[in-house]
Amino acid sequence: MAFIHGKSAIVLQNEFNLSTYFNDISASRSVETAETTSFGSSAKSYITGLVDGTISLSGMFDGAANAIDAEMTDVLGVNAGAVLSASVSGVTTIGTRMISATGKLTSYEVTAPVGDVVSANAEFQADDGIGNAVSLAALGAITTTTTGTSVDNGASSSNGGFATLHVTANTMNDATVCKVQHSADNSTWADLQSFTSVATTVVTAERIKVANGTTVNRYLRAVATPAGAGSFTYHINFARQ
Amino acid sequence: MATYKVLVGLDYGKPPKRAEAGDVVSDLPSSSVSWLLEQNMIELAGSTPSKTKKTPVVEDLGE
Repeated sequence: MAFIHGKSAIVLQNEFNLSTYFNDISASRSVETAETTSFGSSAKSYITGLVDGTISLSGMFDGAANAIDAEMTDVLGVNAGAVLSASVSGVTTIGTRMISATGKLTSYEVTAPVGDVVSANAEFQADDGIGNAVSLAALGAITTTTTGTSVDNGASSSNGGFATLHVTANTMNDATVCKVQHSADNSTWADLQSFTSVATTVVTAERIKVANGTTVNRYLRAVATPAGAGSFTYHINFARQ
Repeated sequence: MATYKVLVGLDYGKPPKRAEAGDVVSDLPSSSVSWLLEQNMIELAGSTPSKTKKTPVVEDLGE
């Protein structure tokens, strides 16, 4: 076991890497419980119910274009929410555990104290829970078709999940197709979830639910296929359910 | 050799080959066929006719 320092945490919100504006991230997961204690019991008993989660971000205000203030106010009141991915370990290399969620911004607070830096704090309510994701493509630039190395979960899972794509920079002069594939034998790969084709120079983010009850095989990998010339900077993760 | 209709996009073999949904292929790795069938990613499309026997057709003329 290796402990990690939080100084290099990474926060992706939609098509933006906002890591340099934040200095604190907190992801809180909870599960509601319903009491099932009956007469004759000697102790209370419970069954678990629905999972829930919130993500809190704290940092420093910046009013420039595409900086923290613009991006937070852009998603405030937007029902679709924001696509959020975070790595508390500071890397997004393939296999890294990630936090992923569709977050609905429930509060955004800017504070300007006379003796300190202007701060910005945001609270997100996770829609459909916070995913325990694994990185399938490190945040980085590619110029040609790239197939990520496989990630071994040790076993298949049977309840779908969430596939998340962030495209933070794109100079490609043609469309790029990204997808997540899975395999039972690490040899033959089946398409599990394809993202919407990313048009030339478009930066975007997308989080797609793979339906509950869907088998997700033991091995996962990401494939990105850019057409034309240019550079495509992206990150993909997948959260099993 | 059996042939299979591909129901979801597949990458397989070395060097890697690509089969899209709807393609009929006969060169899937034998070790992968069972789980692909089990998960409805492929379905049996037929087999090569070399070892099949022709069965005579008898028409019922109703007499």
